[in-house]
Amino acid sequence: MSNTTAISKKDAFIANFMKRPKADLSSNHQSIREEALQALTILDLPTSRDEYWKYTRLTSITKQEYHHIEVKLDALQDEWKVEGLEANLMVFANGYYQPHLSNIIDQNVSILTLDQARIEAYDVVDKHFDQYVNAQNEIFTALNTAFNHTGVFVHVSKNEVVEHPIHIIDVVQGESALVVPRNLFVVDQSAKAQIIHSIVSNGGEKAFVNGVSEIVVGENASVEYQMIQTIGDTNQQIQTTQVTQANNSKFTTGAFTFNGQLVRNNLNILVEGTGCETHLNGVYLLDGKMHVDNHSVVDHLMPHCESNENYKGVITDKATGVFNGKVFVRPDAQKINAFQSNQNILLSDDATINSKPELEIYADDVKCSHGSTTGQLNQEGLFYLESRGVKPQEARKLMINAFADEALSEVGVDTLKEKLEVMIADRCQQF
Amino acid sequence: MLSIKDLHASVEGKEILKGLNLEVKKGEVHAIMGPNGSGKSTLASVLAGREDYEVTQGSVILDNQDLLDLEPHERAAEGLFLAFQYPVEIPGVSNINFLKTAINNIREYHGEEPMTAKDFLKLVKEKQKLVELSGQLASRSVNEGFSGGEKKRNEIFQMAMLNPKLAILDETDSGLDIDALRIVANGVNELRSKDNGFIVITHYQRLLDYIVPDVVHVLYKGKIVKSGPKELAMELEEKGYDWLKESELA
Ligand SMILES: Nc1ncnc2c1ncn2[C@@H]1O[C@H](COP(=O)(O)OP(=O)(O)O)[C@@H](O)[C@H]1O
Ligand SMILES: [Mg+2]
Repeated sequence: MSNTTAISKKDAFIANFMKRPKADLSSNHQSIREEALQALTILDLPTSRDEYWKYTRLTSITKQEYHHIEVKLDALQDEWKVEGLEANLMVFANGYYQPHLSNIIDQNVSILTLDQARIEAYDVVDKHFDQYVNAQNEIFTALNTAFNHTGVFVHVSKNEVVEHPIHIIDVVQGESALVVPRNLFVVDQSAKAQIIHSIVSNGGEKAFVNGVSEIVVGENASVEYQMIQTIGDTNQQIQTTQVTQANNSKFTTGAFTFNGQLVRNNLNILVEGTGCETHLNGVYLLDGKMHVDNHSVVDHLMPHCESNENYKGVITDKATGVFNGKVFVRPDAQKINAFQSNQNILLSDDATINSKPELEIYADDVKCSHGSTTGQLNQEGLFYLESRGVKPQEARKLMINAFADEALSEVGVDTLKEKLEVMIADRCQQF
Repeated sequence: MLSIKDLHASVEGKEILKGLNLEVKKGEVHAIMGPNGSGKSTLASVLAGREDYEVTQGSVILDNQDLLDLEPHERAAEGLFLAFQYPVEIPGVSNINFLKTAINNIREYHGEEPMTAKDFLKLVKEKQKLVELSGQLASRSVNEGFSGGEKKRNEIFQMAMLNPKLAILDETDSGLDIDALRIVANGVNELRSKDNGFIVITHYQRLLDYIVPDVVHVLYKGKIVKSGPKELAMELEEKGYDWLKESELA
């Protein structure tokens, strides 16, 4: 009996995805799609009994009905852009490409919609698309693979450098929009790219964004991928980012979450090469009843690598933060330096954090450390500032700001860093 | 200027200050000495408005303003400054940024416009020189990674920036070598004027060679048990406090 209701709940949820007409695909991509559909017949909606979803209940996402709302945006709002930054712009609204608002400056790189790329860069898409994510075990990834709209495709060829950062703006609009973006970034040997990904709301309500990005970092390549989530108070997002790193590559990423009813980020980094450097950062500033969950995996397969993870949260009201960071150091991965930290400040009695940093080490010559702290604002520090004439709310702001800003050290685009500093300061104002 | 009358204060239910009286007039420097645990830092904390300290009786008036009614930042705006015995480190908060906020919050309290960036920088340069604090230290995070001496010089730097009416220096001299001591004392002497006052809490007479006090008080068991001219400090250095304890008991 309970089994049949569970199935029908799942089917009702999946039916939302099926409402949108499917694009014609090449036989190869069609078969990937078929496989994902096949997986969906077996996979169930997660419950809190699933370890991977233990602290995040998904009923707020799965019980709703969604629509595919095609929109044409009139203009970009200034606050969605990065002031002073000249960027290659790719704009989408509810998953629909907005060519009139997009603008590609750099010609030495292909920046296309995934739809276009399926035709114009068929070989690269064919080689990499869906090769890294796990649609067989993960229902939201399977849903994305089976039903993705379009998304951004970036291919930087060997030795090329993308001079201007690529800024993707995903806009959510309307009532109960279902948005299923799929991105693929391939950065070849000794090439370099910086990608900024903003998810914003244009008065959107009750939307669900189920996004997947695959990032391929070639040998000796350098990729920076920074995600800014200002998705709006009633919208929800599950974002899966799958990264693979080849020898001597560098990958830097950040997840900066400012609002959203429920946000779950799955970040999986497979460090397949030797001599790699990996930086993962995050800031989440939560109030009201927000729920933000960051799950990350760094899997070190090979020796002589370094990974650095630093997530910081400020949580107030009845909001909840979840952090789960796993670092694997496999038997062949000697001489690894892995550092992992999650720090939280709770500003109210009802604020919650579930923090679980984990190390699994199977090699013996490694330097690893991990830690998690949860506390209040330093009272001694506050008194010190106030005793010098700083107003109490300004003192709080200075301290919260200082705490969160520490996670910005790896943001390589200066104008973005400045924007994030201002966004954090503005957000702290509300605490 | 500052008038403390019959001040009683307790912490965690234990009375520490037990009827303290003190008058500081404009232009005066008062030294407070006394054995460890007598309540010197408690007095400083109570004046600055630290939360854990409960005033059970008495009054503290600074230029017609009852300080005990005010929040810590309002006391600062009224011209009170405390140089902490143990300055805290505040990672990530820049010294300069925080001072700019402090100065402008104080100006706002008095209904004044914020200081221009240019004037502020000029002030920073000038006061930095006064305490021989390098520009690099001044712009770092508040006290983070500072040596003991640097922390104390930073306290005096901040005092110079804020130009208070009444400054309390809580053992600013302890842990300083003779050069740092001279720098700190110079800073204080430069700031001394006919319009402001200082309370210098110290264990050692040697600071008072550099900052010459108008009055020396002995604080013992939460009360001022003796006051006298600067020579009293030398007497205390020589004889210790025991003779006072006896006379107090008598
Ligand atoms: N926060 C506090 N909690 C408990 N006891 C305190 C606290 N601060 C001071 N005291 C007590 O008050 C007394 C006076 O301390 P303090 O003012 O620091 O003395 P002094 O600065 O003269 O050495 C001591 O017995 C000390 O233990
Ligand atoms: Mg003391």
